[in-house]
Amino acid sequence: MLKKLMKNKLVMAAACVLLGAGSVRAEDGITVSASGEVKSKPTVVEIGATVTADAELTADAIVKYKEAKKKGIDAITNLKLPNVAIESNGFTVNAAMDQQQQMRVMQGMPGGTAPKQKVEVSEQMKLTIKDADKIDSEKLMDTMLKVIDTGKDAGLVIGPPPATNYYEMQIRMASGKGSNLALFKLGDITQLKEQAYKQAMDSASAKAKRLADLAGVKLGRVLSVAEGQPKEETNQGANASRMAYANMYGVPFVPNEQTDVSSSLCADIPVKVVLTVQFAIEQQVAVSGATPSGR
Amino acid sequence: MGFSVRKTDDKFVNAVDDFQRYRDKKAWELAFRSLTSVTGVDPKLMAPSKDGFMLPARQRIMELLVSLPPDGREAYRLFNDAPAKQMYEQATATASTSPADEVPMLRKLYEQYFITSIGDQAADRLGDALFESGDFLGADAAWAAVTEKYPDSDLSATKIQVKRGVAMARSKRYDALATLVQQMKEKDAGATVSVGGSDVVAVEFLSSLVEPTTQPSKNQPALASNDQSPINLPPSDQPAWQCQFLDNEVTQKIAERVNGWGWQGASMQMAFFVPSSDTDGKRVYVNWLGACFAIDAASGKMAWRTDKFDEISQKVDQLVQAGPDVFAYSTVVIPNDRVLFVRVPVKRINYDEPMRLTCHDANTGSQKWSSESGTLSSYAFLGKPVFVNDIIYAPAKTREGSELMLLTIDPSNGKMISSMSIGQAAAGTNYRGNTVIPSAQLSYHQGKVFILTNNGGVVCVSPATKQVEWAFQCEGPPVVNQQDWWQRQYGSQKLKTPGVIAIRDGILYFKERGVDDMYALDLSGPTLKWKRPIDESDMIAGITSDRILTVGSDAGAIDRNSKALTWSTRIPLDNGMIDPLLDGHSLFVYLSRGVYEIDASNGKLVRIFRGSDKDSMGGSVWRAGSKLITVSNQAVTAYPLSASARAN
Repeated sequence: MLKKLMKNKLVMAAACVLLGAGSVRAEDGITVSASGEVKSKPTVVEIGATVTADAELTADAIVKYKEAKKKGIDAITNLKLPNVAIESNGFTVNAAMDQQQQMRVMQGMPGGTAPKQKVEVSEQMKLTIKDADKIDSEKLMDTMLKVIDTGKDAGLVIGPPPATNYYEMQIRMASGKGSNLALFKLGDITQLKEQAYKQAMDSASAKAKRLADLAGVKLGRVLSVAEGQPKEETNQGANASRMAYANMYGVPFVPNEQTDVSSSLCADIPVKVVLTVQFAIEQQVAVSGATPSGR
Repeated sequence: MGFSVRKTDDKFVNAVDDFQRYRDKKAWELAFRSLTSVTGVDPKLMAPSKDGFMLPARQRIMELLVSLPPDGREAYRLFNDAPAKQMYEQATATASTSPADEVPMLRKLYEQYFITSIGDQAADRLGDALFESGDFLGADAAWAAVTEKYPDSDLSATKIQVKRGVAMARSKRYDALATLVQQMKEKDAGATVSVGGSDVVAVEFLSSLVEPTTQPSKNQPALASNDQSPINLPPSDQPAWQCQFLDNEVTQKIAERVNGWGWQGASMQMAFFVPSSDTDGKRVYVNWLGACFAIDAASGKMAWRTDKFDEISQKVDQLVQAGPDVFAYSTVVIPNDRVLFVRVPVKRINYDEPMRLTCHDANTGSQKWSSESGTLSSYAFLGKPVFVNDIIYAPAKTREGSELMLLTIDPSNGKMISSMSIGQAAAGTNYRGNTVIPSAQLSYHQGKVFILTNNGGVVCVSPATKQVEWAFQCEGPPVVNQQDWWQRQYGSQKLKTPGVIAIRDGILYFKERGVDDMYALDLSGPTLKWKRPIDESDMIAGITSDRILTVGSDAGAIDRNSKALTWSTRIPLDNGMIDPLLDGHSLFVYLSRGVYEIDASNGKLVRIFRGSDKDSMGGSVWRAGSKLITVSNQAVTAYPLSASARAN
């Protein structure tokens, strides 16, 4: 990651000029925010799958879980799709909750007779279609549907794990994660980010130069570079809203530190970088009678 | 508390307690005296025994006497040998003049005086008489009493065991027979017995009766076809014909009415109702909420119908308020081109109309008789009747009561032959305040009718003696009253598959609807063989030689002996009204994603046949001749089976 390049501060008598996204401060030189954006086709499609088994007898739960997992994996493997891989995110063993009783309690009703406790074994898996950018979009869709259908037929719960109660369902729907079966992702975004950084830097230079010209000063060297927007321009509330909006509409929110980018839309995914760059203003030789602005 | 049978009073219970106390103190005279007051107990009353069983009070007395130690038996004989011998002489004398009276007399003697010096002979003779009458289970039980509970008998043990073995073979209890042969091999492998005038080695003779048990049971509940050859699912989704009884207009009408009723509507599986159906190979008979029809299996043409389908939509309000048990609707093909329906006839649908039994001409649909009038009119029918030896056995209750009854009916005219009280059900109420009890399932096996109450128990009835032979009580499903609206509104409705009773090799397996336990009862005792937890949504889908196949949220197989789950396959169950089909090799389950073929041996998903009824919720799957028939909540569809299956 980029680090601050310069910490020296030059005191300038230049007037502060604000224009667009840039700003000029008398004591800091010229500071601008600029962004770079590079779009690319998703390279990976991720389909969530869950294997869940519950039973009163632990032995039954284990048989159900093992068989469901084996049959699910076998079914996907038997499709013999070269780009499809299965990864496990680990399993959990919990006491299964009775949904009926849960709902009654949530609604403030008496819980009724406690049901017999069940053991629940659950495993989250990821079905991944690699090199999606190299596959024709129609063929990609066919492959996805084949994987989803086969997984469902084999007993896998495709997509996000089923909500265990009404509130969980509401929260998921509000966050846009209620119904997405697949996520389209960019795999290694290092190169794309490099390009975006370059774009952002170029844009910052251009903006700063414009400001300097308007102010009648000469743009100096870069004093500092920071990722993201200047502090006073960032707002946690606004970021959170942007994140929620991004999730809801499938537009990714991309903090600079993020290493992978995903979208629920099968379309070009933007990788965006925002930089705040501070430039020095080169000191000019004082001319008698001249105004600071040069007039 | 669930289903209960008529129990003995406190006097009997106290007498039993006294007997056990005096027996333990070896106060024989006092012990015998304590039983004297209850030997004349009403034979219809039941007394608690082991593991949840209720036995006829007299049988319980016999159990107590058998529990006496040798000195207690000697003392008992001192007091009772004389009357026992007198009764035995009367019974043997009766056999020549009135053979029908012999069995009751021998049974009384067997129950009251089994441990006397004549008791073993009485039991042996009772076994002979029952064997001749075709009651092989009863015969085996009488002979087993001699070998197992009468240690000082002078009768030939080998001969008795051979008789038992033959009874086991006749009742196709090959597992039990194999166990018996093994026991005899260990005890006296060379013992001979005279069979048909020639001496044979008992073990070899019985071994020759043991048959392989790999063929599926004829009593399995997956009864969709009488053809046991393997089914090859159709090669294409193209149906041979389809009869859609639930069109968009009717669906919309029902949805509007059900939505209008809010929570009450939610309480009934109206939208997902899968009609009950049956086939005689020529036609498929369907009972959709009381509107019944027949479709020609070859052409798909509707042969007849009792009512127009849209008449149901006009009666939805009344149906919803009456809240009938959807599992009570039944269709049964019986001989002589007749078909029985349990339904509320559409023209009579109102808030209080009970389920009726109607009999129709299978060719024309004309109604032959109905329980709407005559001796059957005061009963509400509670599920699928069975037809045996020209008699209809049907579960019912009185219209306002909650007493479970077993009715026997003459199929020719619908007249009631007899009614017998089975017990008292734990009843709920519908919105109108009428009592409702769960529908029961009947199974006929070797002269006995077994009744699964779906209310916390199984009852074994002897139609010959019109007596309850035993009852098994267990935890039943919760009784729900329609007025408990909050339970329905806020509780997610759990899927309920039908309760099923299935008998194989002398073991009765059952799982009630809405209950999370499965039971195996050994009928030779009867004794509880095992009990195991199982998912509430599961039903018994069939029984193979070594496994019980189940269908619910998962399909699964449970080992019959170890009761361990051997395989499990996840299936998308969206509707509990399903009726799977087992062809001996594969299990076919009709679900919302199509007909699933699952290898019965390992649970492997062999194939999913999507079919053309793609928007349905699944339902029943049948084989009628060379066609595969699916009956869903919206259509009856036939597909031509693959040629290889027909060749088989």
